[in-house]
Amino acid sequence: MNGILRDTVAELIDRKILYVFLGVTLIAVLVIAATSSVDLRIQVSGTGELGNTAPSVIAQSALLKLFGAFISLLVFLAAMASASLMPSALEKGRVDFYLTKPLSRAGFLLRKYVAIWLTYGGIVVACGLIVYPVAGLVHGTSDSRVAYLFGASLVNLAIWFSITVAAGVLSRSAPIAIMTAFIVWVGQTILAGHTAIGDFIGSSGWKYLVDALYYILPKPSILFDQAFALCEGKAITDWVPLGSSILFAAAMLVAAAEILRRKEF
Amino acid sequence: MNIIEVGELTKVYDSRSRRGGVVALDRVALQIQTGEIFGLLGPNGAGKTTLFKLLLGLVAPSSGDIQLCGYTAGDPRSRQKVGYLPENPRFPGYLTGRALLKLAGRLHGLSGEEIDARIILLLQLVDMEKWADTKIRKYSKGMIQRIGLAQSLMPDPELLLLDEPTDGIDPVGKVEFRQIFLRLKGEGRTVVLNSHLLSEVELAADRVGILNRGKLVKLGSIEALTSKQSQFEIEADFGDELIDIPSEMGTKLFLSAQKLVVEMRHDEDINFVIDQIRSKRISIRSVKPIRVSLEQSFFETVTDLPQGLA
Repeated sequence: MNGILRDTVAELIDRKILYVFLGVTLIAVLVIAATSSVDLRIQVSGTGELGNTAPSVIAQSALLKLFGAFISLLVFLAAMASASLMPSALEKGRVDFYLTKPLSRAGFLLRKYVAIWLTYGGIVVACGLIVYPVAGLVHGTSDSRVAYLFGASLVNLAIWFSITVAAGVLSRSAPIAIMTAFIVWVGQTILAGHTAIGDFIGSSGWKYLVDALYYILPKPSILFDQAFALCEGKAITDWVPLGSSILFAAAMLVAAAEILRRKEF
Repeated sequence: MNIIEVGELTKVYDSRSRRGGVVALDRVALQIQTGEIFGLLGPNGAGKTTLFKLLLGLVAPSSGDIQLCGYTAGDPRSRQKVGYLPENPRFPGYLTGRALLKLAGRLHGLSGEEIDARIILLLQLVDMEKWADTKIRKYSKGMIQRIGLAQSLMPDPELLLLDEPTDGIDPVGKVEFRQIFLRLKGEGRTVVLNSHLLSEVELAADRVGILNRGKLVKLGSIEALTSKQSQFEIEADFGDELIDIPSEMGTKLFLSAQKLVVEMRHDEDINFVIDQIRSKRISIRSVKPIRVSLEQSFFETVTDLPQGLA
């Protein structure tokens, strides 16, 4: 593990991807600094849900939402940036170096996957740990429950990397790996509203297909929503998104391992 | 003891295609003993690299058996003590030479101390100490081969598979590489060389296998491959004496006052010729089998040209 992890970190540093993450983080810090003089006034009227909520809580929630958007962007960048790692490791002339060592192909794949997850997960968490405390200092608010967002980010990264790794092994092409991840992202975003889509379609056959796709595909967006709910003190009642997403990621990795086992180099 | 055992090995690429695929190896049988330098020769497309890939589990055989270091090829344990230098390696350009060696050591499961100790040794061996901390993408072809050889030696291998190891290496480097191979052999390690440079193989290898169109067409020691079958040169003071050889035994190819060249049907029949010369009280200075270069033997094997023209 140690060797592949260091190799992945060295490749990351060489590709200068770190600068992209640092740039995005810097922009986020600058935006937060620029909003330090903004006087947040919330006028509450009526007796709805917000009616009984203190303005500081609303501000905290807004900050969490903004932070969630920021960390989602980092996850998206990480998924895209990492898509070429597996195809490049399987390039002719380079793959021989890895696969002629005394480790199984499945072992190599799993090590590479975990290395990508640890490396990019580490970057996403590090960037988040810069931005959130700055936001807390500037706006005088902080909440330890933000850890749920970090947790959701790491789970989502694990899901996206399983897709890019599997697509990378199958196609040995970075663009195809990126496109696959993007298609899944679009699909899961649309399918989040699978009930409404089913009602709109009307046909039971199509409705069944939409529902099936919803349950099969991973649900990173819903997982983020659930993390927000946890941040707001709500409990998770539906474990299908987490369970099916983990199953999907595991299935992707098993498929990738089997494809890699059969491939000839 | 055989470190490599290959039995009836066949590899057909794209075997499911309608055209029937490309036969890269056709029922190859080969044993390589521990501690020998074995040269694998053959023209382009003969199946040499495919054989290496099969040994290392990079491709799967269509049929046949392969045993490497006592394990079936493809089993990760078979590669525990195997070093490999591929043809045209593309090592990660973002790594330095030293980092590549460290990575190779870690992938072989060596400890940090072992890795550090071997890196010092190997960088010195391949004369790359000066460039150890330079990124590989800045290396010349020769430097890549040198660091490639070093990484293949990282696991302290019992078996070394080298595919065109001196490609891009200068003449001095080629001599250095050959000395390394001989040193490894002296340490009881096995080296399998896949090379187009016949003279290089001739100088280093104990045995040679020649592959042509996927078939192992010749296999033997350098001596056996370079000796003209049953042709002998006898140096003696023949003067005007006539030496007769019965046609059922062989043919007289050349006779002068000092030299006789004969081709016998069976090697042992040369004794008859020697006896005849002695019976004529002619003093024999030497009797030696006629040798050809490995290159000539190779060309005669892989081309359809008649002997002497190749």
